[in-house]
Amino acid sequence: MNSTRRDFLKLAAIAALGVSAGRLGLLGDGPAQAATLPDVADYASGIKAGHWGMAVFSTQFTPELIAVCRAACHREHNVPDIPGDKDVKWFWGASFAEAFPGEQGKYLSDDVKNRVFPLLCNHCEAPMCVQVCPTQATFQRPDGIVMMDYHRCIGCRYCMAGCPFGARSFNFQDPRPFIKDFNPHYPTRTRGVVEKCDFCAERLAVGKPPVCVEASGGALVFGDLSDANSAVRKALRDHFAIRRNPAAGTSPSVYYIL
Amino acid sequence: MYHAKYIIPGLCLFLLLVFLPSLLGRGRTFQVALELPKDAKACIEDTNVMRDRHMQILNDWRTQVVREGKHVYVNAKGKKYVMRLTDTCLGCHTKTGFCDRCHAVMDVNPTCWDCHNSSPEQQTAIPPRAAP
Repeated sequence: MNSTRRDFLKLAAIAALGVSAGRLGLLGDGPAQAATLPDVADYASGIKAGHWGMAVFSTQFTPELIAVCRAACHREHNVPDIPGDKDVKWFWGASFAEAFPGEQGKYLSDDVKNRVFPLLCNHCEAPMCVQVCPTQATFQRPDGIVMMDYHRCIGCRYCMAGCPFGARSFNFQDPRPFIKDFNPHYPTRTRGVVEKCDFCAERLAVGKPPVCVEASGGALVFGDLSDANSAVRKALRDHFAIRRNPAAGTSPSVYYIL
Repeated sequence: MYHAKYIIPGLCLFLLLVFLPSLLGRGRTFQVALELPKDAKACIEDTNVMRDRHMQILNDWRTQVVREGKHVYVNAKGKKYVMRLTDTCLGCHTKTGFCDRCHAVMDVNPTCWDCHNSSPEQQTAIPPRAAP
């Protein structure tokens, strides 16, 4: 066939766009909510674990992918979008210096210096927030998830002071006017409570993975850290990973593969 | 008793004032017009059980779901339901046509609605207000 160089380049560009369409968000934000109510039978297929954990393939994360995962999480859980420093976030991106301040990276490699890391609650094995909560509104489940009970939270923000990772956000005002994509199947929060990622405990109960894991296309590996054959343990066996702020002594369950 | 001629009538007047609302309200019944769900015949429990104990049942659901991680409720007849306020309860009942009718008359303001949504089909975060 008689194809010019120009035609070939056009074809290659369109092919590249098609391959990366999911990552660039051109396919929309994905089928995050099935919009059907969970049935009693769904809860029979809930997944259990000894200790839930996550491995983050940080090399696969771009600011766009972080935005996709963040949007999926925030939409599923009615997280408000408030401009300024009263922002509420369950999943967000930060630079190496913000994610790993203890590393004090001097003369970092170019790709790590420019990389954005996805951050979320680390669901620590020895959580500081649980130790200091005066009402046990935040508590550790037997499967390792550090859960929030918004009914009991009195808004003292002691947990925010205790968290070494800045993973918790306070509702300074009623969040409802700031919720843009609304999910009626999950409650909102009210003014005066602290909120954070809950590892999608309500989805695990019906056998689904967390929405950020689903949206990440494999860049987030979620599983049972106590099961040596789980996907997350395999990822940690094959790749070197570090955790945020190990000196705080909380033993996070989220591992970052650099 | 000193000053008995003031104290005894004063006490009687005080008791009368204290019991006046009960005396005036003798025999009064509450007029509550509830909109029952069209497509469901029975609630999770019998009507008299729900009328007496729906608050305790909802509190129990809250503890079981949030703190114990259990999601399935088995009613007195053995039928199973998912323990969710918006999806299970308000999947049949409407808040403005059912819940608010009694709550308004009894001057009860449960704080559930600060967070929980009024309907599984609700479109925006701020629930639509009922017509006055």
